[in-house]
Amino acid sequence: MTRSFLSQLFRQLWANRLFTGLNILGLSVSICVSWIVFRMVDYEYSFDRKIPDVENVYQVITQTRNEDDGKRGEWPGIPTPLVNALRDDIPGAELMVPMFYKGFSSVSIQADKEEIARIESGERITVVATLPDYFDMLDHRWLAGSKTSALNDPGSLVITDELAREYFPSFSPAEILGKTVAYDDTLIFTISGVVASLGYPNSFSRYNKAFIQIRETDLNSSDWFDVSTEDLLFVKVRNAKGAAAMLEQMNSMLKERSKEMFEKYSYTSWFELLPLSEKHFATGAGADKKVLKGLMFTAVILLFMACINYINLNTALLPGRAREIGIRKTLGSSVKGLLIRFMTETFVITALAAVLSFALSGFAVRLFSEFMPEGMEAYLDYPHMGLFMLVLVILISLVSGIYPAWLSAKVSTINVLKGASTRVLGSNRLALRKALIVFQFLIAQAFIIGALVIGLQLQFAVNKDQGFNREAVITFHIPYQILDDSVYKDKHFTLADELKKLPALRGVVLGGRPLDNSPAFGYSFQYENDADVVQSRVQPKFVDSGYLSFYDIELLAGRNLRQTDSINEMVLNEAALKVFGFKSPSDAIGKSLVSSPGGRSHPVVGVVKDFHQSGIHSKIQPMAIFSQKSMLKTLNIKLPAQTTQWETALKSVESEWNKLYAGVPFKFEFYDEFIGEFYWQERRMQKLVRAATLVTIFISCLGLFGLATLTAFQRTKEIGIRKVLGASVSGITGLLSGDFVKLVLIATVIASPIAWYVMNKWLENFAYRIEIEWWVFAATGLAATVIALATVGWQAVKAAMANPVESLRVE
Amino acid sequence: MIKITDLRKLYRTEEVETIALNNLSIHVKEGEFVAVMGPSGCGKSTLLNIIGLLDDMEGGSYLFNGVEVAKFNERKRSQLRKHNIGFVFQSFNLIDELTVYENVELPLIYTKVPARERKERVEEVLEKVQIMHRRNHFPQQLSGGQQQRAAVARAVVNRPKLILADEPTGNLDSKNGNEVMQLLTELNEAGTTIIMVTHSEHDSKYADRVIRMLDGQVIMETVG
Repeated sequence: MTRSFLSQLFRQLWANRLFTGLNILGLSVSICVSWIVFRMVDYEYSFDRKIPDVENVYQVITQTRNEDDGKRGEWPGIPTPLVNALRDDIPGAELMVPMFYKGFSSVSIQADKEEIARIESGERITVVATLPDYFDMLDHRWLAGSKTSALNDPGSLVITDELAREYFPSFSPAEILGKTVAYDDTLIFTISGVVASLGYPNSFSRYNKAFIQIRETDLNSSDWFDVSTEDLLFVKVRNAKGAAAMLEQMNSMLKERSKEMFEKYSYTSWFELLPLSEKHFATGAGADKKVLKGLMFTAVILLFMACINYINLNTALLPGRAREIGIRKTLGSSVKGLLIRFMTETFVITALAAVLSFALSGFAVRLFSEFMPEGMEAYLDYPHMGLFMLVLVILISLVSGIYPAWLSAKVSTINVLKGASTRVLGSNRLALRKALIVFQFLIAQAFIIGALVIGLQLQFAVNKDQGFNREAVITFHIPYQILDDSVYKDKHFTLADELKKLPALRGVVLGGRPLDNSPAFGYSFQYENDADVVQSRVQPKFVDSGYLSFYDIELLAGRNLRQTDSINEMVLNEAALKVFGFKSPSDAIGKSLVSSPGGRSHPVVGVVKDFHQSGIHSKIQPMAIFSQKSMLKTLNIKLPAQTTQWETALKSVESEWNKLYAGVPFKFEFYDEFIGEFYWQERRMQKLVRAATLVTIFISCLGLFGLATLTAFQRTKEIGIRKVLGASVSGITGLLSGDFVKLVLIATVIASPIAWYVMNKWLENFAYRIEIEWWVFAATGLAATVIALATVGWQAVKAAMANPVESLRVE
Repeated sequence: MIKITDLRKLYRTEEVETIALNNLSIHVKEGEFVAVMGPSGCGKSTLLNIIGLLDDMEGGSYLFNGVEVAKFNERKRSQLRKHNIGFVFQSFNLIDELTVYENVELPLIYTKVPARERKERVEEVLEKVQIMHRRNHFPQQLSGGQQQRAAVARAVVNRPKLILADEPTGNLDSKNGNEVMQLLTELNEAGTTIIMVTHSEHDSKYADRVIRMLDGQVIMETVG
């Protein structure tokens, strides 16, 4: 490659600088998106992969099924007797690593003889109780102490260097050995080891920073039915076959030991082995393969769109360059030489776009920081990144460069020099270019429809009548740490009574919020009607006697609950009526349901209208409302009607709180905001889809703008003739833009059913959802048309205003 | 019909200012056939463009049927043009994407002639220039003579009072050229005023009067 080759190349790019610029801009936006998505995917998929023998390490998880309603559950924890069973009875585990998480609210550190630092941030302080096998499974480097002895003593504590720096900032690891740490002021440990943090992304580093020996008392339970999500178990096996054999034995043991309980509660559970390499993508772990796939798909689509722009603009430019190509061929350039010339041009443009995309990505990562996985910024795998970028640039160059290059090689020398065929070369390709534009606008409009539907469904979710009145309501929970504290015990009842005396407040009640995100454990109830026995799981809600009127929940039959100290009488909702087979609300009054486990009988005293308990994702569940006092932990307060009075009202609530709960911070939520936040996942999706919509529109418009410019140029003569014959400026503008509007409308017709199908699938996630109405598609078509007109309009007007004398002058 | 007095027209580039037409005066009566001749660059085509209201003028007066049009804006010019003037170009200037029929129909669309009447008039004029049989062909499929006949058809379909022809035979062989000149003569005999720019002494003999130009000025007029 000679210097003159390169200088000619850059001259060529500069001569067509508008199109060079459009190409670089379009490509850089797409490359930027691909780059960020690649980093996210690369990071998420790197989790745990560097753990030694990761393919043979599994987490034991528990699956449950409720035989009454078929509801499934997946729990990361295990029943504790499994640990001893694996040690004593079931062979096959090369390493057995229980991780039982212990939570404390304070930690005191004695670094020097005199000084004790006490940390009590209000956050839960976690310690992992485990076995020495832990440090065989995870290859921590020991900075002080040793793997063989560090966890041999019940009083030993191993910490990571990260925690060591926080607790003992001015000491070296070796100096920390022997120092003491006290949790909750009573449990005292001596530091016996310091390990380096794992130098790669993994599922453990976030919570596992302090380790103690697991105690026999943690393990000697015989209850195979109770699964805590705080008690995890990992095993390392020889191979997949060994894993399967071990799992089978574990499950048969579970079945045997819990047989009675399963029958009693009509409930089944079983173990599964989750490969450690999949742990990061397991339910609730943070990374979602579906989301990653969606992002990758979007990135590929965007790249494809940018390549289309490139192909589009360059085939359109070709007629203008046909003369140059013809002359080069006449003077002896080979087809290969021409191909190389064009491909190099493409490569240079792509490389420039890649450079620009780096600058863009820094900006984009900040803008979308909430979507970036934690720790991604620090994870820099340079060989991976470099390779990806190189492959990407080459791939884009090939995809977008090959077609224009091939076309240029096909230019017929004779015709070009006669000056005849440039027009033919141009117009033959017009159909292809139009198809590509249609494709781009199809994608853009599909995204617009998607964004609209998500927005409408969210609006529906938040504004839908939930079946209760949440206006001006604030709520707060009594923190669980102090609920059973003897100092604060039952003070919330006093608080409620005191608050009721405040004239500004329109209501104060105790009870779980009507729509809440707390995990809903069902109670199993039986009802014997004339024909048979109906058994069903029912969501309990505990409220006081003012609750129904506070939330405007309509009583359809019977009476309100009376305040009691125990579960006795109950109020059902309509969904519960239906499952138990009552014909009407009044039919249920006076009947009794029997709770399956205890066999106690509960009379139904009232029936309320259905209201939403867990958002619009799920159908309204059968519900039983009780007034058991010990279960009331949430205060619901109705503020004054005038928002201007809220501040004073809130101040007086806080001062009442402070009188009873001195030192405990007062934290409340506006119920309205809570319900809005309830759909955070949908909001995140909305933000992403909106961003994708903007980018696709932007890229499509770049392509359209380029094409409009060229079309206006190519049709200069025609426009001149039409003007001479009497066409008006507006007529010609309409003629030129009309062609593009047609393309956009064709795209609308194709995009609408596709988007309709996809968004209906998405809406199926909701038990209560909007219907996608025709105007969504009409509005999308209209918006796309307006955008297209704005893009091509200027070029069209400019072409229409041109003096025909200029364009018709004979060369 | 056309009375131009002291017409001035300048072309400016960044560095030089060229005088294209210098205080030129010209008078064309209704029904005349006038040929404008002169060497390349003498301002013939510029004059024709100004008469055709395609280009504007720096100074002087232009009366079209007694109306001063020198200061007309683009919209008024366009109105006047599409109802009164037809153009024939050396390079035909047919639109390649439209058929012969569609090309000829265009001026009628712009003057909002109803569809039924358009059909009659287009067919009538295609008949007259004898290319009715090629009405559905595209310009590229025709010979030069046929293309120019189509262009003439387009120029007259609106029944203009004035036809401006810029070297109408410049791209044609002598046989085809004669046919086109014959056509123009017939139109003139039917009452249409014609102003034709030409290099050809042969063609100029068809005209009633020949105006010879040099350096933006009229230097001689001969009545044929």
